[in-house]
Amino acid sequence: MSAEPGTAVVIARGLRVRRDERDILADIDLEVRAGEVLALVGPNGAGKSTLLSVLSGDLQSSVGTVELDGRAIGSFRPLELARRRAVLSQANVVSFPFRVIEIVQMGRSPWIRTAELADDQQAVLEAIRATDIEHLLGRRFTTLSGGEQARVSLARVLAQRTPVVFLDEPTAALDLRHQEDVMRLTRKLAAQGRAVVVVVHDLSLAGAYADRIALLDSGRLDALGTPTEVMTADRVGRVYGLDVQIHRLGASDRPIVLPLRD
Amino acid sequence: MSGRSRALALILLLAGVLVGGIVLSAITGQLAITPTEVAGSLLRAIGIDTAWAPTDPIIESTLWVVRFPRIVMALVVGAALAVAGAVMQAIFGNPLAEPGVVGVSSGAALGAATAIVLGASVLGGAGVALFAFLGGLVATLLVYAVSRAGGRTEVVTLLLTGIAVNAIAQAGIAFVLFVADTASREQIVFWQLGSLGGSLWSQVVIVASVTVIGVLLSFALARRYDLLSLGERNARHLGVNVEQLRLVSIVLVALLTGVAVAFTGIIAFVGLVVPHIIRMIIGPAHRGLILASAVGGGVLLVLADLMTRTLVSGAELPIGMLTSLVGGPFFFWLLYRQRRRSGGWA
Repeated sequence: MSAEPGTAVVIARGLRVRRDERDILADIDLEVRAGEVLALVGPNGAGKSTLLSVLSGDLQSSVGTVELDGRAIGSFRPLELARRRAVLSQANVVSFPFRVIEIVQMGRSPWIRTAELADDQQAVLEAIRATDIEHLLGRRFTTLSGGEQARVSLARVLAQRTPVVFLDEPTAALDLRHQEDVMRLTRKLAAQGRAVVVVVHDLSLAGAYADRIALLDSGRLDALGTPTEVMTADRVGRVYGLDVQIHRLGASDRPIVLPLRD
Repeated sequence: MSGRSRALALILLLAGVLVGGIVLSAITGQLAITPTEVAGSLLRAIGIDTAWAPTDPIIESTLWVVRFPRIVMALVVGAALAVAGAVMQAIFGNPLAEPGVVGVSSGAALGAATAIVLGASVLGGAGVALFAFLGGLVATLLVYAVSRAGGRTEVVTLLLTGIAVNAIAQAGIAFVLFVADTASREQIVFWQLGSLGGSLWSQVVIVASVTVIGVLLSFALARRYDLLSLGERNARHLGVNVEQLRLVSIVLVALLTGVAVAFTGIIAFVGLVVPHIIRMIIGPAHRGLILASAVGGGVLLVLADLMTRTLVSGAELPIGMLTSLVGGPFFFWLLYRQRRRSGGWA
């Protein structure tokens, strides 16, 4: 199902997105590789979600190309795309009071009438365990709290079992423990050979779990590399307009970013 | 009980009520007919001669010329309207969307009224249905184009759009009434009230075939409607061709509403009340919802039609009036509940 670790599965070249006479994204070159967690970080309005939309095929860039498995992403039919990539969006409102279990099962719908259908139960069960929502299964989605809804939506995305996974702020509504759980989960997915692209706001979280970090600033790729390369006090301070200090805990080279406070 | 077995149990229960309603409807009227005569006549029609079969040709013709076509018409119109409502709610992502409320029925009525004035006799029954479909289609497209934002429709926007579309359609109907001759005018006025009286087999055949096709098609799309509940973007992520689904569904709603309105006039709120009650009983999954709504809509209209014929002795109430009398307050209650839950007119 997944490509060899290290293979570039999504390749973006020269991306530019213009809206209202303004470049929302410009000159973006980026590869997403199988077996890695790529974190997209940057200040509000830097274009993280837009970049995620373009990479996942939701949005057509004004200039530039995105290839998935060596094919232009726009040339896939919706169903073909759904079998290759899953997306967790920020908005997860459900119009009718479906039960949680039904929502998770919807993640399997791209695989109806395929051989993978046999894995349905297993995939749903794993997704439920991984997101810690066993106790919610019988509840109506519409009655859950924001954090619970986020985890159920994540379970739906996991149940889709695609080689490429896009997560737009999966940790936003979550408590400390579930934030860590979700980021550990991205590592586990990467270990299975999948490519994971995740938008996060917490730089320390990105630093702790990502293989590579793409730092966006006003629609441009300011830096792309390992957490150590990208997370320097100078760069983060400049992009966010805030003085920060970078810490490292123990023997780990994973950066922890803290604002300078009085 | 699992969702599926609940759905099955409900459909069987409704089917039972339906058979009872049909028999009751067949025996009730100015000419009293016994249930055994009804059964005998039906059996004879499929080639089984029994002692029950009525010997009086008046009974026989009352059943086959007056009552049976009317009952079948009630059944298929109810099914068409209820399923149209369920589909509309699915594509609008809003449980308050309903052909009557948002003006699709009025659009269809305008189309049909135009057909009558232009000379329905030339076009025949199918012509009226075609015009009703076109009127309904234009209205649905209009509502859809105007009222949606970000893949969803807010209640207020939906209702306001409905008011506007209804106003335009009513103005059109008023104009058509103005230019119509007396005979057409009477026919149109009668229609706006909605009635199943005088249904002909030739009309029933048109409505029934469109309804069957429409219900089957909706059922085939049911899983996609489930996914659409997650929002358009998420549905697309799960492989749904949302644009195509939208287009097919709009045509479907216009077709079902148009054909239902074409011969029986505006019968409002069926598409609102039926799917809503079904959803409360078996949940929102669309496969069960669409099938149960089809049966439930049929049951509702067969029973409602029976009431219009029996509530006032010697006279017949317009069925559209009756469904609005029940549906109006129900709509109020839904609005009240939704408003309280979301804390505003979201």
